[in-house]
Amino acid sequence: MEARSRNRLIIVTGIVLVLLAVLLWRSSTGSLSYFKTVTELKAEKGLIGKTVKVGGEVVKGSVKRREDGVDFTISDKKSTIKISYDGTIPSTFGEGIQVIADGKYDKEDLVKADSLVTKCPSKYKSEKIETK
Amino acid sequence: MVYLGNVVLIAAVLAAIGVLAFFVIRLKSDYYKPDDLKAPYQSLYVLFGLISLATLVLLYGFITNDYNFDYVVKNSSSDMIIWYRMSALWAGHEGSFLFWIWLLSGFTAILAFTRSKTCDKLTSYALGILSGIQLFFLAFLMIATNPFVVNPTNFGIGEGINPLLLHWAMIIHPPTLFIGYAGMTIPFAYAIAALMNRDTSAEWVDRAYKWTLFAWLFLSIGILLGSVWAYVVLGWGGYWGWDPVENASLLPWLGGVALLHSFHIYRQRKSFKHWALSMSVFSFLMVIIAAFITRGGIIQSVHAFERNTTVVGFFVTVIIAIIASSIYLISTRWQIYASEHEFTSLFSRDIMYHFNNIFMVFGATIILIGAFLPLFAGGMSIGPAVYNRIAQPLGIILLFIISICALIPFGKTDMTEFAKRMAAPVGAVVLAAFPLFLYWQSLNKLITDVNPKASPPGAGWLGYVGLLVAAFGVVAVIEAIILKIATRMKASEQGLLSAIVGYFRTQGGAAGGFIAHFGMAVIVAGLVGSTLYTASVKKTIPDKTGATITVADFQLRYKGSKSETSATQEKFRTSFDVLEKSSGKVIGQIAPRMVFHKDKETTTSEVDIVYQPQRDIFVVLRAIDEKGAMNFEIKVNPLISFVWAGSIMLVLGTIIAYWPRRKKSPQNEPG
Repeated sequence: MEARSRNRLIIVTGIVLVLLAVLLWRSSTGSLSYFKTVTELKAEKGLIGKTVKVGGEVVKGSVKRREDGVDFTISDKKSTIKISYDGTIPSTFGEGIQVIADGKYDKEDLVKADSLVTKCPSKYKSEKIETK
Repeated sequence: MVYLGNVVLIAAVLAAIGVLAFFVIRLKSDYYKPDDLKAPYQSLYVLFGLISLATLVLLYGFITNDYNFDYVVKNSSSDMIIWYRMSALWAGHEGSFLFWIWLLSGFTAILAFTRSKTCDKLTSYALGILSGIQLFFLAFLMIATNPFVVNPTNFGIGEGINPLLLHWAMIIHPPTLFIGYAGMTIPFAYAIAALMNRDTSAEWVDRAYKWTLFAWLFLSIGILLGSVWAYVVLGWGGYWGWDPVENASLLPWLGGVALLHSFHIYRQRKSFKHWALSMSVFSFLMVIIAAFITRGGIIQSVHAFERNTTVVGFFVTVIIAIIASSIYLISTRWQIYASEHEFTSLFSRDIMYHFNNIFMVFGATIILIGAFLPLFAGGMSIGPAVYNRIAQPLGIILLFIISICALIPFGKTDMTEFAKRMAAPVGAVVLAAFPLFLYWQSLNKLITDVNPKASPPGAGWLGYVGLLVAAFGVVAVIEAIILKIATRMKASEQGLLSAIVGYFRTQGGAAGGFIAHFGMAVIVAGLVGSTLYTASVKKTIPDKTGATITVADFQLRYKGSKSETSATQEKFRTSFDVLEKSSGKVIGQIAPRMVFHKDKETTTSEVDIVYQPQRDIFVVLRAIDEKGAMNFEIKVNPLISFVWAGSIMLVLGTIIAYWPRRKKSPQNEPG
């Protein structure tokens, strides 16, 4: 291989990789969220005001549908937390279903979610449903 | 029957050990003759027979509702119709793994059969490797996820399947993907065989190419089916949510794109050899990691980690073994796989392929980071918004690379020739710039038209650039096809029609490639519309015939509702006429439904969609209050039909490329 053209290719590839890394960096800063269980979340007061992802089971009798979304409580069997979600409700959503809510940890007992993912009660494939 | 399953499984493991040993002994012997390999080749059929028998035993369990099988209890129920019960074979871990091994052993047997006349050295090594992989998987199946576990209570009616999964697309989606996964093992086996033999010819690529195309075709169809199901059934208005399970299926697909392109250059130009070897390994690794993500149970919940130590240990061992041995083999043979044609110019088709591969590996890396980040970074995770923000510009740049690629040759580009070829696509973009600008503005306006409270899209100019690049790509690919056919007409003095037919017949590979890339351009246009400019609004109406919902330029007119009750569910079905607001013309009818499942005490929504060429109107019944007032969500998805149409072109193009041809008939067709 001609050394000159190889070097040029390596340099251009390097530049492209750097640009891709910058794209990745710019797209993700501030948008990464922390995945926590309810108990873990409640133990970390420092996360209040940050974007979090929290998973648990929808407590029976806690679901209140609103015009723009739904309010409910989730539990990980040890602690519970309220979720207020705005957006399309996945068709699998319901009481006793495992969900993952993604949004702002607003107050000690409240997450304002803008994405709600349900885990199907199926063993077949743990389909998640993302809504935005 | 359960015991029979276990006996067959043990026999299969023993047989696999035998087959592997057979290959190793015969290939290591100093007096190696191709005829000596006939027997090991045939032993692969026996192995396939045993694994088929094991699969049949499990299938028989489903057909006869044999609840001695724990796996049948967990995945089927007597009230399901027979086809659904049979499809439950691949409904859980254990069965799907068995099904996968069955496909792999079937493909291995077919490969052995098609090469049994010559028993060439490369194929013999590859078959030896494939039998080793089967042995490994079988052992894992027995130890960690045995489908033949006896139901401890010896009692049960079956737990059944989630009702949402009972949909044609979801029934054939998993086996389609598994065909792709199993097929991707063959290029890997050939790559390792070539490395072991220090064979730098293109023979291994010739043998593996069609298998790779076949596997990749099925991966594409599988992913498409999954998206169709998500869109039609799940009711959130999208088709790709970047969840770990979806992403997992994308990993080998991205690897496959890089692999196919590397193979193409390897065969045509005897270069990209390092790429071809490493992408063979990479694609197979992605298959293993995809299985790990979907079946290892580590991603859905961080806490499943401890519970599945055997599974996790197995996968981690396999992944490390593949990486370590491949790095060893490739690095010790790096020099002999040097290219025969070198990069001489930075502006050539070779370089475009090079960057295409880099983009694919980068995409896969992002998905891998996204999948494993939560495990290592204190629960940090990447959301769909981040994926979209990365994928949108990358998709547009990639399409630009594809379009340029269609217009420039390998080696060195003659700039005056290139300028001539650029005239048509650049001209098209100039002509389309203003109409597309107006269209782009209307997309922006749509969001606030549908929902006055919605914020305008944040993507800014990206959408407009995307539309322009898509137009550029479509014209560039069409021009490339026309040029090929014109050359053909001149060279052989054929008429237009016979030149087209002749081109597809003799150069189906290239022709299929053009159609597939044309499909990519159409998909990108669809992605721009349906990911950046979807608009939605929620409206409540009373249960009164004639009530209307007006959104942007259309109107839904309520025609009434009815309830249907069956033993397991209660279905509430509403129906609407969809009218054009300006003229009052009826453009469609829809019936969004809500279903209450009595046994599971859950409610699911069944969406209904008005399909129009330029957009879909997607209506979900969200809730009904005590007074009977109904709350609907209405979503407008612009250009989504382009995604489906482009995907179908991609699949068709791949089929054309795969189709056996008369002139250069490769002898390694699977099937």
